[in-house]
Amino acid sequence: MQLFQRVIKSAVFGFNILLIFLIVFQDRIVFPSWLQSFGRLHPLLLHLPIGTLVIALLVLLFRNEFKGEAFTRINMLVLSFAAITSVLSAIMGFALSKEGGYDESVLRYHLISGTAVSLLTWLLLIIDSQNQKLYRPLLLVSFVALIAAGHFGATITHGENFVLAPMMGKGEEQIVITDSTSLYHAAIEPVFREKCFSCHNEQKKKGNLLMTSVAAINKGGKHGVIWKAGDPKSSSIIERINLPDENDEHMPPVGKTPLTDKEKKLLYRWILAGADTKKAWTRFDAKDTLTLLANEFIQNGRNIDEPAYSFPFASKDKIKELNSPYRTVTQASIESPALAAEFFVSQAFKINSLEELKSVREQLVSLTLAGMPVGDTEGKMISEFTNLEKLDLNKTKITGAILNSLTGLKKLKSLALVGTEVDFKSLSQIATLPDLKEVFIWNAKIDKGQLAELESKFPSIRWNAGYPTTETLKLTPPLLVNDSLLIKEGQRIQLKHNLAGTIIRYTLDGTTPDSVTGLVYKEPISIDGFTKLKAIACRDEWLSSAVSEFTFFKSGRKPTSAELSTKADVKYKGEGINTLVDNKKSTFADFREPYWLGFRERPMEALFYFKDAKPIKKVTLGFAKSYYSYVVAPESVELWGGNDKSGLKLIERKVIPTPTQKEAGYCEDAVVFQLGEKSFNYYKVIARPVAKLPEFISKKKERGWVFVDEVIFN
Amino acid sequence: MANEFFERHLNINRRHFLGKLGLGFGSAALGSLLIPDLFSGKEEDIASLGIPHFAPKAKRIIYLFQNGAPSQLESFDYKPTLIKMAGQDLPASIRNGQRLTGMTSGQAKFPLVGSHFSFQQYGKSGAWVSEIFPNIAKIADELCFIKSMHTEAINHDPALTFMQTGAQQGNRPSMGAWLSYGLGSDNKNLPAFCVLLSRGKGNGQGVYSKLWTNGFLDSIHQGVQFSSSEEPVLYLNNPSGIDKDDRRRILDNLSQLNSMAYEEFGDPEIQTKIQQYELAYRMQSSVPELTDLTKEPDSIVKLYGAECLVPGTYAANCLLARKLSESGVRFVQLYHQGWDQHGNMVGEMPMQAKDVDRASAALVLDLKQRGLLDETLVIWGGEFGRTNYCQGDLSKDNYGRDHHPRAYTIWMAGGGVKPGTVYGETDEFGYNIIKDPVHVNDFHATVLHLMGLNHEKLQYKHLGRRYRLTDIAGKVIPGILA
Repeated sequence: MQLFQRVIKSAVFGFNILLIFLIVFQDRIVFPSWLQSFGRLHPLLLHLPIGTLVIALLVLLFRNEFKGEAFTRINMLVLSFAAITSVLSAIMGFALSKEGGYDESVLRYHLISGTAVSLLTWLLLIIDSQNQKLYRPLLLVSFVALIAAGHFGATITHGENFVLAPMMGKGEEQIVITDSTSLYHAAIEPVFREKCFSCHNEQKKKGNLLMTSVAAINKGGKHGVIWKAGDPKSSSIIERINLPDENDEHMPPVGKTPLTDKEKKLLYRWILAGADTKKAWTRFDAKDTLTLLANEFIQNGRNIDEPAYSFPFASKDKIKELNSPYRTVTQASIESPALAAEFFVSQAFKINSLEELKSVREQLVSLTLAGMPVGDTEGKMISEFTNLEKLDLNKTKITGAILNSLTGLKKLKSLALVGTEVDFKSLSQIATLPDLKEVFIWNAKIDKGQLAELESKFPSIRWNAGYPTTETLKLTPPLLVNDSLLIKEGQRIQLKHNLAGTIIRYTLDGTTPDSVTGLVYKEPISIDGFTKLKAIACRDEWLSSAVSEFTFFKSGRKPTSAELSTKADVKYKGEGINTLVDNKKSTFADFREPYWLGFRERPMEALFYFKDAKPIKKVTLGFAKSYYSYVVAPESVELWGGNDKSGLKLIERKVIPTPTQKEAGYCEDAVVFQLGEKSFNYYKVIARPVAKLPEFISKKKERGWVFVDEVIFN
Repeated sequence: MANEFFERHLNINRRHFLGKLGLGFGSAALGSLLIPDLFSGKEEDIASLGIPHFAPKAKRIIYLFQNGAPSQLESFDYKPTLIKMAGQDLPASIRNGQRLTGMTSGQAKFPLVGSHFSFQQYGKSGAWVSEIFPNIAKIADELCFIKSMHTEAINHDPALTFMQTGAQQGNRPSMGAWLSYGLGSDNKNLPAFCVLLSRGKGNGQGVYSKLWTNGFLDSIHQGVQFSSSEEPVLYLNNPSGIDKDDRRRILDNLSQLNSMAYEEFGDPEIQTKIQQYELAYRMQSSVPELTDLTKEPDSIVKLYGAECLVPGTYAANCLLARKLSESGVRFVQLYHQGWDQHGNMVGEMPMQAKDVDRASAALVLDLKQRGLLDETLVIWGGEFGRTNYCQGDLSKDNYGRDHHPRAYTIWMAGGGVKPGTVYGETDEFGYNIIKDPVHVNDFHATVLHLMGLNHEKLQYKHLGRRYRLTDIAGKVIPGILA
C-alpha cells in the first residue's frame, strides 16, 4: 500500500509538471502522432476523475462510519485514483485540443478549469486529510473546478445549452418557407443543418470550417473554399461526400449519418446550376431536375409553414375596436400578426369604415369587399394597404380604372374581380405584379379571345373565367303559387317559374301542351268548376320542362247540414262528414291527414241538406288515384235528389271504366254531375269501390280503395 | 368544538405535510411524463377562443351530408370482383365474424352482388366514378376521395350522431357548434352555423335537431335550421305599424330588462338570449340580400341546374349554401335524405344520384370561380357504407344492401385538402380496409386541423372533465393535406 502510494504520488507529481510544461511551451512543441491517438482517449478517461471526486466527497461526508484508520486509508486510495486520472485526462485533453476546430474561448475556459482540477487534486493528495481546516475547503474548490471543467467540455462537444434545450422549447430553428425564400435556405441549408452543423459550428469548427452561414462557408476552411459555382466536379464538398465511406476524408466522418443519394444529387445539381444562395426557389424553372429534387425537400418542410411576417402584432384592443357587426377583422392565428378584414351587408357599408383600417395598414394581408358599394375612387385607399396578398373585389362597382391604382400592391397574390366591369387593358397592367398567382374574372367583361391572350401573355398567372355549362339542360316545371287546389270565389290560378324569361304554356282541356301549342300564361287564370290544368315551362337555350298537372276545384255552397250514412274505414276516417264539406282540398300526398276519407269494404254514402233550394248547377266529387296503394276511381258514382229525405230519386249514375294501364305516382280527379236548372233540398252521393282490382294492380284481384276528400255544390 | 378543530389541524403536521408533498411531487412528475405539455404553461392556448391555433387552410365548411348512407359500391368504390362473383356467398374469411345488423344477421346466405352501374376512371388521379355521377366525375381532379372511412356504429341514428358530434349518444356539440365556439362568427349578421334540409325520393331516414345541437356549449353555437320554403327565414319583416327604429327601441329596452335578470340570476342563457335577439335584428337586413336569387346570372342556374330555383331542393340548398358561405357563415350543414337502399338499389340509387350530382359538382366549381374554394372546405358523404352482399333474396334485376360501418367513401374538396387524390383502399370485396384507414375521430381531427385548430386543444370543461370533438382519440391524416 505504501509503495503504491509512493509510486502514485510521484507519478502525479511528474505528470503535473509535464502538464504545466506543455501549457507553458505549447507554441514551441511539435506533437508526435502517437500523442494524437493518446489525446483522443480524453473523452473516455475524463469521466473517471468526476466519479472519483464525488466518492471523495461522500467518504468525507460519512467519515464517522469508518473506524480507526479506515477513513484515512480509504480516502488516500480514492484521492490517489482521482489525482492520477485527473492529470492524465488533462494531458490527453491538451493533446486533443491541438487537433483544432474548437471554439477558442470555450476551449480556453475548459483548459484552465481542467488544469485546475488536476493541480487541485494533486494538492489534496499531498496535504493530510486530517488537516481539516485546509482539506475541506480545498475539496470543495476542486469540486467547483470540476463542475466548471465538465460544463465547458460538454459545451464543446454537445453545443451550448444542451441540457436545457428540450425544456426551452424548439431547440432547432423551424424553417419557414415562403415563395420568396431562397432555394438555398429552403432546401440546401436544411441538409447542412442535419448533416454538417454538428461539427462545423461556432463551437467546434472542425477543419476550421464554419457552415452555419453563407458568409462563413464562402470563407472556406483549412482546405479552402468548399464549392466552385457551376463546377461540382472541382468542388471539395462534392468530392468528399462521394468518397467511399471507409475513406478518412469522407464527410461526414465514420459514425455520423452520411448524406442520402437524393441529398448528394441535390447538392451536385445546385452547384452545377451556379450555387446561387439568393435566388428564390419559386424562380427556378419548374421542370428543372434541381427544382424537382428541391421540391421534395421543400414540400416535406412546408407542412409546418406559417408565412413569416416581420411586422409587429396589432394590439388586441386595436383589433377589438376595429370589429363591428359589419366589419370583421381577424388575426390569421395566435402566432401570426397577419390580419384579414371582411365587410358585410352592403347597405351598412360606409367608406370611412374602410379608411379606419389604415391603423392596421401594415398587418392587413387580406381584404374582402365582395358585394360592397365600392367603386374606382376607393382604389387609392386600398393601394395604401401595401402588404395585401389577397384582395376580393367580387361584385363591386369597380371598373378597369381601379386596377391602375393597385399596381403598388407588390405582394398581391390573389385578386378576385368576379362580376365587375374590369377590362383587358387594365388586367394586362395589373398582371405584371411580381407575386400575382391567380386572378378571378368570371362574369367580367372579358371575352374568349382576350382570355386566351391573357393566358398566353401571363402564363404564370391562373386566369379563372368560370366553368360554362355546354350541355342543354331541362327546365323544371312551372310552380303553382296558390296554396290550395280549391279556388274560392274571386280567386284565380297563379303559376310561376323562378327563372326569369321563362314562358309558361298551359291547357285546360286535358291535352298536353308543348313549346309551341297551348296557351301562353300571361295572367292568372279564372275557372268556374273542376278543371285539370297541364302546364310546361319553355325558354331559349333550355329543353322544355316536364308537364305539371294540377286539378282545381271551385268552391261552392256549403250545405246547411250533412251526414255520412256509411262509415269510412277505421284507419282513414278523417273528420267524418266534415272532411267532405270543409272547403279544403289537398293532394293525396296528405292522405293520412283529416283531409281524406278512405272506403274499401263499404260504399261511401253521404246526404246533404240545403234549407233553401237555390239552383245548383254542378255537383263535384273529388277523389284520388294511386295505383301503388290500390287506390282507384270508384266503380260507379250515383247522385240522388229530392225535397223529402225518404223520397230521394236517382238523378244520374256514372260508371267509371276500370283503368287499363299502370300509372306512376298519384293524382287527384273528380266526377262532375251537370244538373241544369232543377233544385232540391236533399242530395245524396254514393261512390262504390271497385270490387276487383285489375290484375296489373293486384294479382289477387282484391277490392280497391276509394279515397274522397270533398263534395262541392256549385 | 373549537378544540376539535384545532386538533384536526394538528393532524396535518410536518410529517404528513412532507409525506404528502413527496407524493404530490411524484404525481406531478409522473403527470409530466405522461402529458408532456402539462407544465409548459401553454394553457392559454385553450382559452384563446376566436383565433385559430395556427394559420388555417380553410375558413369555412360546407358539409353536404348524404343522409341514409349512400352505397360506396354504386358510387366511388369500384369492385369488379363483386360482379364476377355475383350470387356467390360472402367468404367467411372476409366477413371474419364481424357483426351485422338485425336486418340481415338472420340471412342463411350472403350473396355478393356487384354494381348495376358501370364505372370509369377520371382525372389525373384515375378515380373511379360510377355512371350515375357524371358531373362529380368531371371534377375528379378537384376532389380528394377517402375510400377508407370507417365508423363504430351500425345503425343510422348513432352513426349519424357520431359523424356529426363525435359521440354516438347525442347531447354532445355538433361539428358546426364546435367551430362556432372555437373560431366564432365571421359575419355577425348571420348565424355561424346554418342547417338546410332536403329530401330525395329514395327510402329515407329522419334528421333530428340533435344533429346540429350546441350540446353543453352555449346555445349561441346551435345550428340554425333554415326553412325549405320560398322564404328560408320566416318573419323577417317588421309587422305593419312598426319600423326599424321602433324595433331597435323595443330590443334596447328588452335587453335592459334581460340584463337585470342576468344580474339577478346569473344564468348565461340570458346573455345568449340577448345575443340572439340582436342577431335576429341584424338578420332582418342581411338575409334579404342573401336569399335574393334574381341577381344570380343565367350561367349560375345552368351550372346548378334549374332545380336550384325550386326552394327545398338539394340544388337550391347548394346554391343557398354557397351564398351563405360567401357571406362568411362558418359552417353550412346540408342534409339530403333518401339514401337508405335496403332494397330497390336499381330504381332508387339513380334518382338520388340525380338529385345531388350536378349541384354538388356545381358548388365546387362555383366556389372555385369566385376564388373561394381554397378557403372553403366542401365535404360530401354519409354516415356509413353498405354491404357487399344483397339484403334479402338476390333477384335478377334488383338488389339491396344493408348497413356496413367497416368501410365507406366520402370526398372532400378545397380548403387545404390535396386535390385529385384517392386516399385509402378496401379489399377486392369492398368489405375491409386494407390501406390507410380513417376513423371518424381522425376525420374530425383533420377537419379541425384544416380550420387551424388543434383538436386536442379545442376543449370545453363540462361535468368535471374536458371534452373535445374527438374526445380522447383522433389523429390528423397528413396524406390528404395539400
